[in-house]
Amino acid sequence: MFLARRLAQAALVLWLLVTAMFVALQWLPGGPAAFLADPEFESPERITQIERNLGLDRPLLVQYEGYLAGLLHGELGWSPHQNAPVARLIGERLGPSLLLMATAFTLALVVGTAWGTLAAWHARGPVGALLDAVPVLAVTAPGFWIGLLLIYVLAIELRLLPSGGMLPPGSEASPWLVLRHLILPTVVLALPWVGTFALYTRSSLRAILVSDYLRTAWAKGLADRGVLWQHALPNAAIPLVTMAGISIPHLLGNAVVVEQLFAWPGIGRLAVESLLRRDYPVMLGIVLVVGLAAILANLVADVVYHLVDPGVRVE
Amino acid sequence: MSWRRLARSPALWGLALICAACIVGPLLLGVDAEAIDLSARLIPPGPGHLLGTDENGRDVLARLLVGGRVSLFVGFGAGLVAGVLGAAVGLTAGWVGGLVSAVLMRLTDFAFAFPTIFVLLLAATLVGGGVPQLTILVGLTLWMTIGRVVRGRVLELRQAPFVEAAAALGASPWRLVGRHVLPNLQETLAVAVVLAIHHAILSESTVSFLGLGLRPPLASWGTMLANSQAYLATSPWLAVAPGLAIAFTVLATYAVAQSLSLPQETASRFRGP
Amino acid sequence: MLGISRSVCWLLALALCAACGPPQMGPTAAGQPAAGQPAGQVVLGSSEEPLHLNPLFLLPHHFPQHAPYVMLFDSLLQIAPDGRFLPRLAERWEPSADNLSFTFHLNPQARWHDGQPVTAEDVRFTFAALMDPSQNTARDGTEALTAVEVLDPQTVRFTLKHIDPLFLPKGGSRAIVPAHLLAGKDLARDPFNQQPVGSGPYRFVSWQAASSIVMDANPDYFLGAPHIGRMVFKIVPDQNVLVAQLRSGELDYGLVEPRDVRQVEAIPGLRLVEAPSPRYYSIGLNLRLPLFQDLAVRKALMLATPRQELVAQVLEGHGVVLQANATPASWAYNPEAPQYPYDPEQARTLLRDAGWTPGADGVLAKDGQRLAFAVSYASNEKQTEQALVILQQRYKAIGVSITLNGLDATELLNNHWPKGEFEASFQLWNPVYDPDQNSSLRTGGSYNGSGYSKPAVDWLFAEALSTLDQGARKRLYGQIQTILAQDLPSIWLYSNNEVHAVSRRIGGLQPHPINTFWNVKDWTLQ
Repeated sequence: MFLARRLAQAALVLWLLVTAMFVALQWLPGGPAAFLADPEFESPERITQIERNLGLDRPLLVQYEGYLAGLLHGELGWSPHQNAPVARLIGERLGPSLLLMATAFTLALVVGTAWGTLAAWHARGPVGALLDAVPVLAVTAPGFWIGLLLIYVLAIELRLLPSGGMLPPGSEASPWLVLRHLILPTVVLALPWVGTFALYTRSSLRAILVSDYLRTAWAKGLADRGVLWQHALPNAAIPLVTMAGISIPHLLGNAVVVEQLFAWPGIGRLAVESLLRRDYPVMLGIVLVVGLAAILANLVADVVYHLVDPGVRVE
Repeated sequence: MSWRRLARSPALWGLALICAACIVGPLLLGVDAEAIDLSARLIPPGPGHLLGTDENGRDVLARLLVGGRVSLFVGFGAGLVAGVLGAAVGLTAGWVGGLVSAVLMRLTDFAFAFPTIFVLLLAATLVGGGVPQLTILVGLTLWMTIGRVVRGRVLELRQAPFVEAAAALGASPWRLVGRHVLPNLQETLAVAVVLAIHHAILSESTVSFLGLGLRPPLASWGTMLANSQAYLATSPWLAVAPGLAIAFTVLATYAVAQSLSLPQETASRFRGP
Repeated sequence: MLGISRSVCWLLALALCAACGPPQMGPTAAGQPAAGQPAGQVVLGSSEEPLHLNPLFLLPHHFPQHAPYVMLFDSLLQIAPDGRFLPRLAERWEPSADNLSFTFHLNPQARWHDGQPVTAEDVRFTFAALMDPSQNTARDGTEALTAVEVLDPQTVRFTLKHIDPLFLPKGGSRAIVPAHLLAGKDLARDPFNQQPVGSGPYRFVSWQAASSIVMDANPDYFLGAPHIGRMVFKIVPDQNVLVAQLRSGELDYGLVEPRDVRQVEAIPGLRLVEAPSPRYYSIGLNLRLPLFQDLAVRKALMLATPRQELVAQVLEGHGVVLQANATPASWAYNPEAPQYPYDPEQARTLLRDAGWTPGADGVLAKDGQRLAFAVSYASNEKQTEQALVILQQRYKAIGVSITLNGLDATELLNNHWPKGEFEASFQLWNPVYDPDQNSSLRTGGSYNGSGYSKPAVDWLFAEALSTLDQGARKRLYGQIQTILAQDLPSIWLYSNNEVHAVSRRIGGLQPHPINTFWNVKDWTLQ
């Protein structure tokens, strides 16, 4: 069965990911132990001792097997720097990140495809040119620039929206409060993707609108709107779905800047911080979780592909 | 693809102008992009310094042009690397199908699932921050998107009526790919490469921002953007200059990509096209 | 088409409604506290978040993360801004006649936040954990300790293997943890790490990951209840946003970067408190390189370094130039140590007389050796980078060529520096608890990355570490500074001042190099 085969392949890729990361970490200079010793007052022997305490002096293969064994039990290990289980560290940041990315993604998809459709429809003339230019500007404007501008204007000067964080400090989590805090970072994160989806929609749709395939539909006597909805958009949707599916991991990269700017407690910042500290268990955990998300996203995209046009054989 | 139409495209000339400006501009301007003048720090744009000066008194315009050389190189270079690699993988996977496609797509998944930020930072620590290394690295983080998009398009085209018709008429696979598939890939590929270029320029900015990309005093639009963040409240022009430079470059590149697309649409009862 | 437009309209409408929602929760209006009762709330902005809240694992050099600890926990004693030792958990203490042991008498009123009394057993347990090699604890202050004994529930005695003047400032400043909650537990994995129970003026309430830490006043604090009812640590990673929130009043306190001082000064309702710091920057030279073995070269570099200009431009004037390895904020500072002006002419002369002549590329050379070297630095420090860019140009003018080598900070400090794998290294030094820096300047010192070796200095360090008399130690360290200013194993640069922005409603803030919040229980709110 197609799904079973893809799931098996997904597991294989995940395993490859973890192994590759494990190996890469050995090449990286330094290790988690250095962060835990004050270099000015501690001797190098102390670092060796800390490595022993952390089990880093065992042969690589033993450590690797131990890690895999732990994974199979759902254990992601402990952070030696934050004294907390990696699963919890990632878990408490994953939620906010997913919320932000999902909201931004949805917004981008909806607004972007609408815009792109409009742009493709009105491809000729000044209206078309304007509709074309805006998405490109959206894609190129630096995120932190737009973000800071919005913070200054909407949050500081006009006091319409909060200037950062996911919740006001010390308050109970409530969907209403989170929603207010979500608006600005979502807009900033979504902006380049609004542009991207608009551009892809426009290009796919235009290619189809002028294609022979569609002339056949007209020849059959379908009205303009019917042509658009029944033939053009579904075909344009295929590359769009692909694009949509694979944009999710890219969102992680953009998310770091947005998380930093809006003090959003997400996973992007954790990734950078853990790398700088060489917190290996956390880094491995992030690769695993993000990798899983990416693989699943691709899988879903392929499945949707299948559904949108069963005529297209995916494998 | 019409070369003549391409040559008439204003966007291509615009892009050529940007490239030319960055290559010969600094020489014509006669201002040393690295010259520090601490008595002239953070001057707003005006006579004497068309785009103002930065936190070390360096002329922003000069730095912009010199930095443009690096950014354009990394951007287009990485886009090229990503485009070639992605197109190759996507075309092969889409056309050949079967096990080859499965392996290639899983390889793509693997490369894709690796958090970009880790790859760039890890690699920067290991191979250093030179311009060629950065170009290849950034290209290696962007090919997967192109690969998937190209594969998707190839899959569609493989089953399109005109391709099946040509196959039924006895055309060889090479002819099918060359005459029918490749030309129809252009627009998709062009758009994908343009966005890869954009991502490349911003990736370079992120890596530079985290201090693991290009070493000072080497300038690029990315490092200028990164350095401007600290002074955004007091000296916003420092972010506007590189931001607009990136915007115009990508805008021009995109318009060029448009000119490369499908032949002129013929008039029809369709209001839009 | 219409369907999509409609959905977009709904989304926009929803967004607008959200924007007009209930008013944002900000700092509560400070009400008049009922007589004696802690009241009001202060929001403190911080760009770094603590990794955990277990003082056993807290490293002194991660100082931006220290803030909550001094509110939640107590140490045996506390160092006042002028260097005196103040009682905290210990009411009094005395050394033995030979200065090899210290007996501390604990305040019998001290209580943990769960009501249990603080006893000598807690102190013994804390230090036993710190000294346990199988734990990855931060061992500062325990280097010379051999034994910690409980004499009675309020008395504890420390025995040292040799006289150690660093024990009181470092060991005495270690936070004490509750034995009854941690004995027998896995110290690095216990929930205590995220839900601490201390004995300090504030009690832990909640910690929203990467967002905020909330602490409430401990009304039963044995040294007197704090006046401010609630302390909120808000994590604001972006400096621009931090300044913006200071302006909007969402933050009552924040540490300000030099470039933002002018902006923040103009904010009504805030005042700036500037304080010198014992932390300083220097460029350590690798004396094993033949290039740096010539004193003339080191002197010329020092003369060609525009340190005052760097302070004026990079620190916007909020700093001070150094002569040697101590700043005016340190009690061991010797103002008489030799001074170097900025004199590139003299530098050129010195180099010329030493046999350096300009090569074809403008860089000085001698016997085939170019006066060119790489300066390593922590790549995330933008200020350092700016200083180096300026320095690069100034050195170029006298024929010295430097290249900038940005590295990961931990790599630089833990590997490259102590192993001597660098040519020159731009570093931050942090002698906050005590001015002693023997590990980096003594012959064979474990942190002596430059390879500096001078018997006179070794002797002075040994003397300074063998007495507890601060007056005598001050004289000895003063002499070390004089020698270091003459020998120039490093190019001594400058020290940043700390600039604190604090709401005018808050009184009592007294800056302190170790921890700004050291006297937080005495802060008042109008």
